[in-house]
Amino acid sequence: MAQVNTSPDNSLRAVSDLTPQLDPSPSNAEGSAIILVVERDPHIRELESYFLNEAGFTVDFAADGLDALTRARALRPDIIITEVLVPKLDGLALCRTVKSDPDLQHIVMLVFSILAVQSRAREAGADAFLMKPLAEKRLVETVRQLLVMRRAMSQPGEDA
Amino acid sequence: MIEDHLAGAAAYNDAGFSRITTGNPQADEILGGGFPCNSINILMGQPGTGKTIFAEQLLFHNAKGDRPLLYVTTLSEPMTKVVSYVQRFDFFDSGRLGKEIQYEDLGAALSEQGPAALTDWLRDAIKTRSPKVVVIDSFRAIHDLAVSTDDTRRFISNIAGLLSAYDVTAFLLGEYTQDDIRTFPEFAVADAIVELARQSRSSRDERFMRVLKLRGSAYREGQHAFRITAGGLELYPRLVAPREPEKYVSSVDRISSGVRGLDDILGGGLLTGSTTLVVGMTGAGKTTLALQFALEGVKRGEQTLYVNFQENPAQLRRAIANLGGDPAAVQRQGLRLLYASPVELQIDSIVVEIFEAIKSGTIKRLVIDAVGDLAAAASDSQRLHDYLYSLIQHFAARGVTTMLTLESGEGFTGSSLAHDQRFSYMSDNLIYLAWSTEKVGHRTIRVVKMRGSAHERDIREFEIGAKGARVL
Repeated sequence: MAQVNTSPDNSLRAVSDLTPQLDPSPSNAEGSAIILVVERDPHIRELESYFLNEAGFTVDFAADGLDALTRARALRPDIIITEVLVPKLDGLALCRTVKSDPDLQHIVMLVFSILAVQSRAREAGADAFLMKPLAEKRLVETVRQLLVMRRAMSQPGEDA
Repeated sequence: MIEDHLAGAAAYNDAGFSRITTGNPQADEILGGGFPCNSINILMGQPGTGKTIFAEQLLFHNAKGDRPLLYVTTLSEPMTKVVSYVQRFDFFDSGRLGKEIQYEDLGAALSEQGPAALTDWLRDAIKTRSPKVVVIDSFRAIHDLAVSTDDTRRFISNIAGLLSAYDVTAFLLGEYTQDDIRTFPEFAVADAIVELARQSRSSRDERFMRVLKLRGSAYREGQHAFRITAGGLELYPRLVAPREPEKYVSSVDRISSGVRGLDDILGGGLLTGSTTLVVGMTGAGKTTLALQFALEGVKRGEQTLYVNFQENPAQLRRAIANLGGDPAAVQRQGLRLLYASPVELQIDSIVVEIFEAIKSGTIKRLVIDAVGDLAAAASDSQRLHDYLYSLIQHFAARGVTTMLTLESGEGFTGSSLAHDQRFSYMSDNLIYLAWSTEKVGHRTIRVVKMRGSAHERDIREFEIGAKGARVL
């Protein structure tokens, strides 16, 4: 398999360059952002919800891709964190569906998987990719950066 | 897109996984770089085999950063005992305790609540302390608390689920036996299984480490000897022959044996990089011949290693002086004496020491006097032969001309024939020393075999006089 040469520093810098003035902490910048987690593993669900709650986010769960779409329409989450290996509609297909739906495409998609599928996740329209296992610092930081990025992207239009 | 460069890079690096060091370079070498990160590993072995020390050595070497390493004792050994014992080791650092390394005793909780106490503890530890490493000692003992097979399955499934979900590397220690591997469910979820064992030999014990499983990675198979020192486990990875069969450069270069008259019957001298086995009864002149071979090397400015199990350094220096050499001078000029008492002899450590010495590439001549002493110390003669074979291949590859001596009780015949023959097969040249049957008190020499060279086959007289040995 080809060596994956991500240049994370660049992508992360790009994010912070856009938003030099923003504080990424959810408590004051994002309030209680809503996160929809699409995950089957009970242990990951438990730990994910615990760490995200601790970080100040509101977490809801879906057990499969179709359930996630239904909930996304009702819940309007800020971020969907999805495993690739979920039933009915896999995580990558979920990304494509969300990103091609005008009502949902503003939702940030974070693929969080046991599979190393960075490039496929990118092709499917994911905004970020994280590999399991769960490391709370990486997860929470990534979520915060994504929220900051999202605000920065939507801000000019709203403010003007 | 924000990408997970940390995990991504780790997932694609050459080794396949990122690794956690054992804190022991040899163990890391055996494991192909260490234990895989985010894995469940079993360290198994009977009490007293060194599991706890191995785990603690790993902990203290990895005790840095803001995430703690947790060591939890269950039912077999109280935590206080484990902690008080670890203080004796060099790697112990009391400054790490309570911060980077946290010991905890779950014995009481487990006795009251059963196996679920460990699951609860682990879940809570993950949530509140973000552990980088968790050691559970003994994990096997928890099985005794399970009330049913279902209970056990649920417990293992929960523990394995939590450990797999979270970014943590776990070590489950236990007094497991080989039979347990088939029946205990933790072995199915384990990414690595390492066994530590102790085998009794008449006056001492030999310890071995063996990797039974290492998911997704190559490792060094077989038993690797170790001993427990103040520094922790001192390991001697099993020597294996060079991966590629050495192109046997049939060297035409010859070097002098250093024994007058011997080069003539050897067709002009020993071929560079060849191995010569010198077989003979006590007093037949093996050590004299081997020492002269070594001193000849020094005279010609060649680095020479003399490994000896019989004569202590003082005796050997005397023997050098008897051959007209100045012991201090020849040592300065490049003769290295490596002495190991047969009593303390642990073959693996000697083999590793020889191998380390020749790896430098400067040694041109080597003597092992006598390989029979190695054989006597070996608990497993097949293993010894594999070792010597590997060593000889390495010598040949590096152009080290080697002489091995072998004491033969009844001459090169009789009961020890099979044993001796195995040595002779791996040698290029075979020289046989004996007492003359015709002239009392006279010695004889005969070149029985010389690979890749013509040689004389006659029995010749071998004289040891004031100036050393010579062939008449």
